[in-house]
Amino acid sequence: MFDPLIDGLVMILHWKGMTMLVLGVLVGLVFGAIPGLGGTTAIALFIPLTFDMKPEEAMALAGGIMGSVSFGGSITAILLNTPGTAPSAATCFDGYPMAQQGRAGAAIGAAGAASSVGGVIGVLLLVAVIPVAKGVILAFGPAEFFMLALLGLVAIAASTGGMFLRGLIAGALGLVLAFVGYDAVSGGERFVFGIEYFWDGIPLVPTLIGLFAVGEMINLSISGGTVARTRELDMKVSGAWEGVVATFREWVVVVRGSALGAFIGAIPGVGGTVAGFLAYTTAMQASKDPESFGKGNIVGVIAPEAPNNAKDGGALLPTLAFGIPGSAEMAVFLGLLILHGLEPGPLLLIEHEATIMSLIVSLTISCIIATVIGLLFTRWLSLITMVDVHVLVPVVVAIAFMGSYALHNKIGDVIVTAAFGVVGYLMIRFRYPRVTLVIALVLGELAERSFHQAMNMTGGGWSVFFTRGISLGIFVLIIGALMLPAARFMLVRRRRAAAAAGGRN
Amino acid sequence: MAAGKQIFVSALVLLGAVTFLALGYQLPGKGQDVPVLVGWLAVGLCVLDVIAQTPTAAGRWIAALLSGSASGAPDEKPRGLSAELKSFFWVLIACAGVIVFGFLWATPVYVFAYMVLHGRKPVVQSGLTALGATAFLWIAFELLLEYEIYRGLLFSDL
Repeated sequence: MFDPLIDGLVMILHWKGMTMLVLGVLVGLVFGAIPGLGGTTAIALFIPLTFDMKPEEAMALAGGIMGSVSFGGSITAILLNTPGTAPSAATCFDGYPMAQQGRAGAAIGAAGAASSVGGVIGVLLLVAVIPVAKGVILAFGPAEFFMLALLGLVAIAASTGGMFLRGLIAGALGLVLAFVGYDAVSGGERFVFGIEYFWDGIPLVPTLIGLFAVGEMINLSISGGTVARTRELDMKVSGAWEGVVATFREWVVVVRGSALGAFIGAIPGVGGTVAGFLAYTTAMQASKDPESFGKGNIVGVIAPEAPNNAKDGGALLPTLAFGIPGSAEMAVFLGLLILHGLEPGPLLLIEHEATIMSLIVSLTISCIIATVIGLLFTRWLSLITMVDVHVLVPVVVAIAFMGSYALHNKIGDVIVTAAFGVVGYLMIRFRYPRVTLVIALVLGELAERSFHQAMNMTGGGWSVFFTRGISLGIFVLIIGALMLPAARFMLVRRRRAAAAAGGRN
Repeated sequence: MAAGKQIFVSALVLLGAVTFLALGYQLPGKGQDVPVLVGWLAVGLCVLDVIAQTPTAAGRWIAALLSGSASGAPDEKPRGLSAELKSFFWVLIACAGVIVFGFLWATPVYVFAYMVLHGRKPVVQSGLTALGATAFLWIAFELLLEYEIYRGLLFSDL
């Protein structure tokens, strides 16, 4: 168990690995601090830079970004009441009041320490689960992989906060895009309309860069102003050590939040935001002084920060083991793996264990480095959000286009990025979640291949999907995920009716 | 957002789904199996979405049941069509500029023009940002990573 981990550590401790890791941390902190950018855009933009790198160096860069994004988001959540990333939203509840009371340093120290410890716990849980996962995934056949791909899509659509139907439609659109190009089953091309460029299919990374980086830039360009909607940044940032000490004093909150984060992270679509809010609520319910929450209680900062990084360990499991990404960030990360010849799935954990361990080590170290760098440059990171969007937009668009082109030296990739930038914006505008499109685009090939293999096993009968235990089990979960929005609606309705009846009485 | 606009968008997506389904049926042999399946699914979902946008009892029920929300879609920020078209224009201009003139010419001109004309930023700040962005691209991609930066249709033979 420990040999691959040590191999991974050796790879990262090489100067190139460490340079990439620190670069990743800096990128992650900056992108995390700017609302609307986040880890997905950061990894998408930086994938092209890794093209010539060894897989371990690319993993170090990605690990650095993933491990630091959430802390970058938390700094602006505490100082400006503007969470840079969605999972940092719960940190605002007590972090911002602490900053207003002159305890910003303690809040940032607590956030950094909690997210570091949480990240390490999440990674340790991942390392512990990998040997078990290896055994489980070998029991998966084509029918199970097909069902798993469907579950990934439906679960993510179900968690898109009131956009379930359009999430499913976006998923179908992603599948449509995945069908473009040469088809291994029929041996011909599909939906290429005579354009040679499309023979290899819709390129994943330029599409991701377009949907997330360029799409967000168009959105920011239309909103205008500065990224942060406040101009106040006059508080002092000192006393971070007090926050660090408080985190270790509240170790139960940290361990509970981290375990919650790692578990929730492994469920496709649920993600860090839910984990953060859940950990916050749990800490409030378990507290002897629940009234102090929301008024600057340091536990209210520690609780949501612990799962913030721990979720990455959990989310990596389905991504690496099954090739089923649970979030947009993981879908983009999957693109990075594929670019480096690391095909996610059962064999990845067996054949490339050392490379995967280098990613895990990067994630662990980056959580700690991010805290140190974040604490040193807190004020500068907050100032980044004061940058006018009309300075940010053209620069990011130029880098996005250059990155797209550099991948395969194809100018067609730049056109794809621009086109998907517009599509990405329209999806934001008309509330079609982009994450389901991306995940469908990633899963399309796996789903179709598994479907045909499974059908061949029974000579064309559908029974294969419902007669195998695991496949049937996943099917039941799909039905459950499909029913979830309706069940949620019924619950809200019943609660409102009960509240109305209570009010009348 | 006006219900009419939402219905229009949903109907447009439905049209796309129907077109895809029709194209799927023209694929040979087994190559059409999954696309046709997805096509029918997409058409069904799009029909539900069109109904969900209508101000009818059925529409309200579908919207509520399939969004998991009892209050419908949240309010959205008003966005002018002209502002949206301008933003698309700038992205398309950048893309066209890269194709014709290459990155090293298109990037500084695009960044500068966007900041001055669209962002109303001072000329000196815009010029410095444009030069900085171009220098970053050149140093990162051509110097450090040794990529050959695309020179554009006009200058590719120079």
